[in-house]
This record gives sequence, structure tokens and C-alpha cells, in this order.
Amino acid sequence: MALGGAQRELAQFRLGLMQGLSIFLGYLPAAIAFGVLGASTGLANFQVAVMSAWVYAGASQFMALNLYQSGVSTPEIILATFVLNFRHALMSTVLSKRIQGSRAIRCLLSFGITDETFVLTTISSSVGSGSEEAVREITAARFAGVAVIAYSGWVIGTVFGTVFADILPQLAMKSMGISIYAMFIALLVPSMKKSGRIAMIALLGAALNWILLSELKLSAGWSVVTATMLASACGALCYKGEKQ
Amino acid sequence: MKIYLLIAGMALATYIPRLLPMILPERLQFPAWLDRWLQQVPYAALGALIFPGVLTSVDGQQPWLGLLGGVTAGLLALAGLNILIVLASAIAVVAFSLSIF
Repeated sequence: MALGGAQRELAQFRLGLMQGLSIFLGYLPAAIAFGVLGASTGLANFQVAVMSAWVYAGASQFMALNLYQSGVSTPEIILATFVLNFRHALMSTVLSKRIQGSRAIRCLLSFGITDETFVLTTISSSVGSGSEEAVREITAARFAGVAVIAYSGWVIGTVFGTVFADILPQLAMKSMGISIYAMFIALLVPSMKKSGRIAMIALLGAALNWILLSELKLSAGWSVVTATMLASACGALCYKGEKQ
Repeated sequence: MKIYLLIAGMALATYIPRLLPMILPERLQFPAWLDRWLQQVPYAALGALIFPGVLTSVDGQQPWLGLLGGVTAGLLALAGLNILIVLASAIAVVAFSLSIF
């Protein structure tokens, strides 16, 4: 049965919402923790919520609160944020070639690019979950679904954390820190099982990141982007040898 | 007021790197080698995002608990379980271990 354009877009948007549910669940505890921390630094609850809604970058927000409290100047904090988030330029470049949609739509959707939405959309589209055809391409509607539910998790979690800072159970908060990593691993393992080349690229990315962080003392943002570019370059060279 | 200036500045600092590549002309064709390179980026990024961050995922310390949660997730994903079940199980294993130790 052929679906009409609008119906198909709605179906893709719903698929995105479903796929993004794991990100929502991963963001909630991190965002709640951010809300709790923000409320304890003397910022108004509203200001903490605005930071999550506008900045929408997990690690940078934690870092900014830290620096803000220790009296670091505003331009320095902004520069540190830029450095930590520059890796998203690489992810956005990959997505710019794969999201189907007009440039205006893609510019709008780019606000929703995070480490998590990037890997979820690019990898679920490569390995397939749900019907094969529905996930092969990253339609604008599916990316929007993933982005909307992820963003909701981040903002709702922050507000929840500022309001209920005093009554949250510590054990639950600590254990849920694993959730985003569990999601990353659940995304990666099926692809690794399928292809030795993918397994090698991922392991190389992990090993390089570890070396760059611990031996070369790179900051987390640069370390991830450098390790990613080197490991994917090795993978591309391998691929060339394999296929052509 | 100063805090809003900080937030607005940070918002630009996070949005600009996300936005810039999307401004590239729509029909711009990358050379084949660059396309091949970019196709591998998600897997390399996943590896780098998982490790060693997973070791500090539980309370910023206790690397063994992070590792335990990560290995749990890996084994269940290997068994082909749904992503949400993998997620819930990893949280449960870490919570259980935290409450014992």
C-alpha cells in the first residue's frame, strides 16, 4: 500500500520518537543530576532550565557550572564550551550528506545533533531496526522524531532535578549513569558482530581516545574528535583494500 | 544578567559547530575518498565515546562498576536483546552491585 507524503512523514516521525526513547531514558538521569547541581550553585531554577534549553550540551553545561562557581570569566567559559563541542562539526558534516531534506530543514534539525542522536540515527540506518526500508535513509522526519524526544528528555529532566533536588534517591541516581553507555554499547555490538572491519574501527577509536586522554593529556572534546578521525581514516583505507 | 550573557554565548558556541556544515551547498559532491572516510565516522565515534568514559560513568569513580555495567550491556546486546532491555539490565546490575558494596 502506497502511503501519501504526509502520512509517510508522520510514520517516519513516529519511528524516530520510538528509536529515540533509549536516548530519552539515558538523558533523564544526567539531566536530573544537572538540575540538582544547578539548584545547588545559587542559580534560579529558571536559569538552570534556560541553560539546558538553549545550550543543550551535557558535558559543557556541567563544566560551565563548575567554572562559573570558581569565578572563571564569561569569555573563557564560552571558549571552553566551543572547544568541547567542536566535535559536533564532524558529526554534522556526516549528517549533512545523509539527512534527506531541504537546506533550511537541515539547518533547523542541526540544533538536535548530539553524540547520541548522531550515532543512533546513522547506525540504526546502517544496520536496520524495524523494517529495513524505513531506516535505510535518514529522513528529516525521522531525525526530527529522534531529536525531539532526546531534547525533551534533557529539558524535562533538568526541570525535574531543580524542583526535586532534595528528595531524589541517591542509589538510583548513581546507577543510572551507566544508561547512556549501555545505549552506545547496544548500538555498537550488532554492527561489530556483522563486520570485522566495523569492530576494528570501533576498537581502534576507543584505544586511540584512551591513549590521547591518558598519555597526551588532550581535553575530552579534542580527544574524541581526533580519535574518531584517525580511526575512521584507518577504516576507510582498509575498506579500499577490501572492496576495490 | 551576566548569567544570561553566559548562557547565550554558550548557546552560540554549541550551535555554530552543529550548524556550519549544513550550510554547505546542497549539491556539493565530496570526493569518493572523503565519502568513504565519513561513512566510517559513526563507528569510530562510538568506540571513542564508550571508552574510557564508561569507567567513570558510575558516580564519576568506581571503574569496576562502570566496567561491569558495560560488559552486561555488551553480552545482552550480543544475545540480540532489545536496546531498552539492555539499558534497564545494565542499570539494574549496577544498582544491585552498588547496594551490596
